[in-house]
This record gives sequence, C-alpha cells and structure tokens, in this order.
Amino acid sequence: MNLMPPFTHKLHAMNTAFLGTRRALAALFLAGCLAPSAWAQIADSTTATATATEPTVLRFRDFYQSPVGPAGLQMSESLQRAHGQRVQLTGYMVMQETPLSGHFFFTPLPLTMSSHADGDADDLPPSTVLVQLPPAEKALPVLSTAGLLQLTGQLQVGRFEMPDGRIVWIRLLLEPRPGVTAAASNALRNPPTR
Amino acid sequence: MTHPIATPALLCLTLLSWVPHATAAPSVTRLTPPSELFTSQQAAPVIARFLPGQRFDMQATLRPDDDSKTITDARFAIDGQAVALPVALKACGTGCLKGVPANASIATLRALTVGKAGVHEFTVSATQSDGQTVSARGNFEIVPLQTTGLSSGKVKNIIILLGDGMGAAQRTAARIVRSGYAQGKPLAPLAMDTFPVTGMVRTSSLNSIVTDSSPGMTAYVSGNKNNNNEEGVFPDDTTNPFDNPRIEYLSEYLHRTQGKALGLVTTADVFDATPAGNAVHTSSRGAGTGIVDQFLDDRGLTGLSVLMGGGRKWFLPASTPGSGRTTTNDYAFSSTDAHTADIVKRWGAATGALDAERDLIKDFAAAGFRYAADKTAMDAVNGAQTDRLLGLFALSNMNVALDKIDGRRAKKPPEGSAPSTTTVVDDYGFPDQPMLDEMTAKALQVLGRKKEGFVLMVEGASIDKQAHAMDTERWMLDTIEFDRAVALAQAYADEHGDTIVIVTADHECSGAALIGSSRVNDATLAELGAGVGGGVGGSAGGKANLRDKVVGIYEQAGFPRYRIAADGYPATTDIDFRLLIGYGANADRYEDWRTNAKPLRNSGQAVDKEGPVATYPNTPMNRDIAGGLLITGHVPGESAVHTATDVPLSAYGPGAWAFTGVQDNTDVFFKLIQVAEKGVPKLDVFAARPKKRF
Repeated sequence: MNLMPPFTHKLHAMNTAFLGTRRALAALFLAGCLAPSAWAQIADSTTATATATEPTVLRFRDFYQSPVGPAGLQMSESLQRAHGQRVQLTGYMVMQETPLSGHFFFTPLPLTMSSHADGDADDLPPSTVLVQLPPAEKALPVLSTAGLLQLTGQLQVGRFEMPDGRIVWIRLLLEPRPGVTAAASNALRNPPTR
Repeated sequence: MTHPIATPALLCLTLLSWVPHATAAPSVTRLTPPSELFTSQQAAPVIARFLPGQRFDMQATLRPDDDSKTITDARFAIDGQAVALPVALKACGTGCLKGVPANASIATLRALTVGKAGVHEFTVSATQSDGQTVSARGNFEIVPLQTTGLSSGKVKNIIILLGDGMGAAQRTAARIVRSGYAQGKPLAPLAMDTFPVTGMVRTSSLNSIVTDSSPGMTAYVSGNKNNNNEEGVFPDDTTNPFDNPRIEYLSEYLHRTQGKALGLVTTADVFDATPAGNAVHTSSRGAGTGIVDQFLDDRGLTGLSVLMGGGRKWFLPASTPGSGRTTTNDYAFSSTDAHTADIVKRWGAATGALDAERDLIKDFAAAGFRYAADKTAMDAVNGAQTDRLLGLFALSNMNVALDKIDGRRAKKPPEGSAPSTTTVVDDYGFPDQPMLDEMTAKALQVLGRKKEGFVLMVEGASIDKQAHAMDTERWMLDTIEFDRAVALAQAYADEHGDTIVIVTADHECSGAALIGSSRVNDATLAELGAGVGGGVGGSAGGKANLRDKVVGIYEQAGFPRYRIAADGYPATTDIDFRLLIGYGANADRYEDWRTNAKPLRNSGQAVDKEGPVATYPNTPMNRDIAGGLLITGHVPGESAVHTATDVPLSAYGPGAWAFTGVQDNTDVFFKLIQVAEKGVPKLDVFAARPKKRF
C-alpha cells in the first residue's frame, strides 16, 4: 500500500512490537498522514490541489479568556476570527472506552473518557475540540492514536449538538488527506489476516 | 361404526379450529414493582421493599393480541382489594421502546403508599377491546420499623460519605501513603479507620452483579435495586426518561415527614449519577438538562439547600459558550395526559418545560441560593447566616486533588516541598477550586442551621474516575482528600451527638491490588523506563527492566514512606521504593510506575518540531508508552471497569452498630430511616442468635 511514506516503515517495527499490528497500522496511518514534512513531498508529487492558503496556527489556550470567571466561557477574538478558516492545531486525541465513528475529541492534554461509566460528567477541558473526519472516512471507526497530533482543517466556532445530545462549541473539519480514499482507509482498518 | 378416516380427520379439524382461539389473548409483559412472583412465579426472594408510608408507583405494560385491538381498561389491586385511584392508561404510539407495539398500553398508579407490614401480593387486571381479559400478579414487602426495645432516641442528621469506586484496596493504599507504617503498625489511622463499625456491602444492581454509580447510589437511598444507568426509578417501556415509576428517596421521605434539608457535595459534575441519585428520578443518568432543572424545580420535595461541585455547563443558557443545555435531554410533563400529569398531581413534582435557554444560575439565586463560582467566593459565604448555597466550580468535573494541590503549590509552595510548574487547573480555566473537605465544611455550616436536621451526601467522585484511567497517584490522592472530608463529618458528629455518619462506596472500580513496592529508587526507576527505541541503546523498558527488576513482592515490599507536606498531601508521589498497584479489571496499558508527569507551563503552544514535546500524560496507553511495560488488559478499550466485589462500609454515631455484617446496599436505607424516624435499636451483642431484622 503506497500510503506509507518510507520513514514510517522504521516506526512500524517498533510500533508493532508494542501496539500490535492493527494499532501499529493506525499509528502509522495517522503518523504518516500527519508528519508534515514527509507528506509534503508525496502530496506535491501525487496530487494536483489548488493552492491552499497557509493554515493559521492556533493554540488551545488562546481560545477562551482564562480564568473563566463566574459564568460561561468568553471566546477570544482570535478564535472568533478563525471561524471558517483553515487552521492547524496540535493536541491529543481523547482515548475512548469504545471506538467512535467519524469523529474524535481533541484536547491540549492526553485524557481518557470512560463514557460508559461517566457520560457527560467528563474531565474534558473547556477548550476541547470536536474533530470530524472527512466524508470519505465518516462511517469508519476511529482508531486510538497516542501522542501529540498536528491536525489541519476548517474551524467551525459556535454551538453544535451531536446526535447523542452532547453540545460542543468548537469543531475542526479535518481536511481530506491527499491520496486517501474510503477504500484505502477501509483496507488499512481491515488488514488481510494471515 | 366409526369411519376409519373421517373420525380422525374430524378430530384434527376440531383441534385445528380450537387451538388458535386458545393462544390469542392479551398479555402483561411488565409488572412494576418488579418481582420474582411475576418473572418466575416464585414468591421469593422479594425484590421490591418499601417503608410503611414510603411512596412508590405501580405500573403494567399490557399488550393486545393483535394490531387491530386495544386495551380499554386496567385496574390494580393489593391483597385482593382494588386500589381506589384512577389509573393513567396510555397507548404507546411512538413513545415506547423498540419492539413494543404502538397499540400496547402502559397503566400507571402514582405515589401509592402501603402501611401494613409484610409481603403483599398485587395484581393488574386489564380488558381488551374485544372483551378478553388478562391479569398478572407480583409482590412487594413493607418493612416495618422497630418501635420498642430502643436504646436511644431519633438521630437528627444523616451524613453519607460516598467514595465512588472505593473498595478495600483504595482505602488501604490511602492509609499507606498518608500515614506510613513502622514495623507493621500504621503511624496514624485514616479517619474512616477510626469508625467503630465496619461491615461489608453487596453492591449488585437490578440487572447485573456489576453495577454502576446510578443504582450504586440509589440502592442506599431508596431501599430498592435499580437498573444500571437508572436512578430512583424502576424500568419501563417508554422512551421518555423522566416518566418511569418512581421510588421515594431518603431525602424526599425525610423532608416530607420531618422537614429535613438536603445537601449534595461532590467533586464531579453535579448532574452525575451519585449526586443526582439522591434527588432526581430518571431512567437516563445522562439527561443533564432535565436533571439539573429538577434539582431546583423539585426542591420542595427534596429539601435541597446545598448543591456544590462541577457541572456549571448545565446551568448556563444554551446560547452561552460552554453551555451543555439542550431540549433533547430536558423534561416537561403534560398537564392533560394523566401518564405524566399524575406525576405532578400525585407526587407534587414540578411540570417542567423545554427551556434550553434557561439561566439556571439566575433561577437558583432568585430562589434564595447564594452562588459561589470559586473557592474565594465560597469562603466569603457566611455559613452561619446562609440557608441555601449553590457552588459550581468547573464546567464539568472538577480537577482532581493532585492537580488542585499542585495548582496551589505553584502559587505558594508549602514548606518542605518544591514549587510546582503544574498548571492543569490554569489550563482548564478554573485556578481556584475548593478541596472536598473545604466544600464539606461549608455545607455543614449551612445545613447545621436547619433545626429539623439534614441529609448530607458527600462524594469523592474521582477516586472512581481516576481508577478507570488507572492513574494510581491521582486516585490515591483523591482518597486522601475524601478522608479529610470524613474527618470533618466525624468531628461534626462528635460535637452534636445526634448525627450518624456512614462511609461507603457504590462499587469497587478497577480491581485495584496492592501488589508490593518498588525495589529500586525513583532515579533508577526513571532510567529503567527511559524509552525503548527512543531511548539510548534501547535497553530500557519491557518486562525485564520494569517488572522483574522493580516489583518487590512479599517481604521485598517493606514499608513505602511518603513524606506529607504541611497541606496534608504527599510532597511528591515519586518517592524511592514507592507503593505499586496492579489492576484486575484493567484495559491494555503501558506502565512505568511513575507519576504521570506534571505539565509544563507552555504546554498549549504549537509543537516545536525540533525541541521536546510538552506533555501532560494522563491516559493509560500514551502516558507511559516510553517505558514499554505492556500490561494486557482483561477488558477491551481504554478504561478499567467496575467490579462486583463487596465493599466496606464504616459507620459512626448513634445507630452505627446496625451496619455490621454482610448487608445488601438496599438494607442501608432501612437502617438509616430506623434511626431517623424511630430511634436506635438496642443491640444485644452477646445473643447466641442475634435477631437481624434486615
């Protein structure tokens, strides 16, 4: 499968030893897709995209006024200006008790959600972002990916109700990754059994 | 002479025409209160138990035998006597669970009470539109209170301290860390260790040996088992989470009969199961908007006067950033349809409204509640002159003890401890959150003003949450924080003499096990876990380094000693020869035994690709990955889970002696009401066969 940039093969051996093959593939998949320098080369050579604007680099701690104060959150000007813009954000995927489909939560610190036990009584910080996968991957389960991730996509700021009733205020619509199609991602999630 | 073919043929035809009529009849598919008599036709064990005069709902789900028919009438009787109340009969339509047909009907009687002690049989009888009838029977027990042979009078106040997920291992670990041992003797007990009575509690729910925090709480305060995820209600067949058959809570019963006040203090989001399971009736522990609305709207039923914890998101109007309010999980009863209108009429509950834009903080204030958004504001409340207090210290759960303490030390390092660079509380935007014992002290000041007395529930919520995350140091410190609240409750009981205090858990979480201690000091431990592949030479990590060289079992474990700072918490949890915890109900994780490091101040910055990455490790899989000791879990996913193990319950004050032995969590309710309503039974400890009433 030509989706793995060369340098990730080295990671593969290490990852497999610790994570098991499926997780290794997932880690690889996202690591490969998200390590900007490696992808830049491949993207230039394999895709003909329109010139994208440089993404605005955002930080979680710039989203809201801190401390929060006695009532609700106050969005910063930079957050409001970033609505609808192409942005880049670095953080951690929230680890889920059971895999989610088509989305995950993104936070400035690594966290676990024990959703069966806790539901909406969670330890998520106010600056939590809902990351929504591109249409090609919406129906597929998200595989846990540990470590710092750098994501690029379109920012949506404002109240959004998820199907289970949870309200989120910031969403990142992840950019489709060059060369990634639904079939390819599906194959990665279901490697041929030995 | 009979025809050789015709007679059998005639017989067959007769049988064929007879059989369909015999099986086509309406049926009763659910009867509430639940009973084995209904489910398996066995009279024992009796599942549902109530006090004389405790309110509860009765309900049946009735199914016609085909689509064209309906249920036209339903009646209930208890011990053969018809219940003289109008039955609310409601056809399902689209309002029932999948698999329940639209023409099924739910028949309900709200807020019944039965006075006579003993087991009672009850029946439902229903009529179908074609005249056919059906009936079914179940049973429940009315448990009498003891009125003679009492050694002392009524108890005025009840304090329930609930360590969520806190089993024996969690208590033992907190003692070792907080106090230290010398030659086998602890240098100081935990406050909960000094309670004279400790018994064991069976924690199963209505539908499983492994419970969750919803029925884990409500069993203690309603005397009845509930399904997982449900609180203060029996299961039903409708999709509405607020219309289930109710069971009167301890708080509601004592407020109604004696005018007592209710206080709820937690480190979790206040809508969470443990606090809500003292005051709100719902089959969906996640229905946040409706739950918090009912905290206020039904304070006339519960006597709610103090509510403190996290969960501010439910109290902000839906259009305010940070709000979690939504009509999707709000409540509103009908004023015309008896199925829910009777909840208002018979229970005296509020009607409610779908009002996501409600400013609930403002409404609490209008109802006379002082509002505190942080510790400073809470301290400024004069408890001696305040009757009602609302404290909302975080959007969802509050930060845990370790992170709150680190936040305080960053501002003002206590003597003997290094200044911390942790800013978890700053990064969450809530830098001034109170500790659980500080919240408890304030609650006691406010509630103590109530001359009729009070029920106070204090929850150490994140013992469980951090045990799910298998974050050893964070749940150990939360247990220490919880024990400080226990000490305050005990001191209150000592001072007043009319207060019973119980310390218990809803269930155990994670199967925590004190396996031993580290055979190496902290510096060596750090080296041993210094990163396979990523580290130098790749020789660190793995079983050979992090398990075989580290884990000291049996006499190798010795006595880990944690130095306690002036603020009452360990100066550091990364001591030499630290306590080691294993998890029996764990998910896959990587362990390096060290405290998940404190975050650096600039952790929110965009990643500097050349420099080191700032991290707050706080999840099992990614936090210790460098160390590489993979521990395979028994359960899939990322979290450890609850276990079915019995938990210890400790009791203090008048009536404490009833709590010995192995008891059901539902037994606790009856023991508490006994001492609050009638008085403390004389206990004959030397009787050959002591008469155990529950």
